[in-house]
Amino acid sequence: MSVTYHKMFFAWDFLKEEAWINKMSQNGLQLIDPGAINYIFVNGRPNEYQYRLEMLPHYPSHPKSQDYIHFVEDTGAEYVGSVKNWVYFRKKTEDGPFELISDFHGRIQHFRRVSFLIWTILIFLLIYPAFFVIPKLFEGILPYPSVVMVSVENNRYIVSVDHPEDYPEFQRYYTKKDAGSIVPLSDFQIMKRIPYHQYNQGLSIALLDVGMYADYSPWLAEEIEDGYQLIVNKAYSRQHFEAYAPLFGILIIYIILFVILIGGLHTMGAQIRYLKKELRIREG
Amino acid sequence: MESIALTEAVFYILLSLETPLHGYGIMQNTEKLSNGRIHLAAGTLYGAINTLLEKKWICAVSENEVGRKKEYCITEAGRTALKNELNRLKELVANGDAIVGRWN
Repeated sequence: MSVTYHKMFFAWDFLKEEAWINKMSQNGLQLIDPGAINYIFVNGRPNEYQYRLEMLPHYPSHPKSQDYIHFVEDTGAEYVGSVKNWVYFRKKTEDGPFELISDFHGRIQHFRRVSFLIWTILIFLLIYPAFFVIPKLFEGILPYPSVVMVSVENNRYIVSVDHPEDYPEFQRYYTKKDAGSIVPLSDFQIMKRIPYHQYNQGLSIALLDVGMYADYSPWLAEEIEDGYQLIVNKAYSRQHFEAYAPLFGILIIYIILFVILIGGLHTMGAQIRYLKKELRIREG
Repeated sequence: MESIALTEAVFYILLSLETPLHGYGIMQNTEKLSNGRIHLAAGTLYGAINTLLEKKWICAVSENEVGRKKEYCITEAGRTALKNELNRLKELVANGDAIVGRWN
């Protein structure tokens, strides 16, 4: 009868994983199918097998890996299965000690292989967001929270922007000095963070995207020319924050991932340094 | 000439291949010769065998069709390396004996 256990180990915790599988063996549960989170065991004699796992440089189906797996099998071990590049072997405990790598050089090489994996993930994490950010730049989304000032004169709204050169659409109104058209106040809308090329010319104004600067409105007020009026929509600012909230979530996940990965690199580094030091005075 | 100390694994692999053996045979022979002190790990042995094949200190005996177990034999270069290593070890033992032997 098989029993499935769910457990997850980080790649660099393979020694812990190995220890756990061997502990299960001591308790009479023999691993027959390893997985990333699903480990399938069958009932057997306690301590019947010793388990060892190793990360290979190639996929298990690769000829080089196959050659290695056959070699290990020929030494009396049994190939249990694999997860990605990781292979699992077992050998009957009564057939003597079982190890895959006993020399320092081999172990350093193995730790380096795992470190390389961690580096690959780290670099991927660094590059991946760029694929989201770069296309956004071409979509014409305002590159930074813009401050739009609105003045009300004779029922006309006059719009000005803090960086008019960045917003040709606004600039036109701005330079003409007759910006906007007469609209009833009820039609006044705060347009959501829309790309400015979608700016509805039929609707006279206005984009008030002070974004994170909402709290700086007193400071902004000083910047405003006479006759202009700064309208800060706090509710919109909150919305604005909510729009960014998932980003903050992702950022936090990223920070956690980085801490975990750097922890893994540190663990591997410490092992490699220890082995190198030993290697200077004796062979493994 | 360059004098490189061999690892225990390499020393015993070369020593074991006086008669052609496969990987497991080398492991068993090494264990027997060292009275069970040295147990070659499969991966370590695999790495050492491949390096020795590259260096042409050992050669692969043509595989027989029945089993897929590869057998290996020692080459002349391997014999020379083993001889040099033995001389080096003799020197170590002689010097060690001369000093450490006096201690008791």
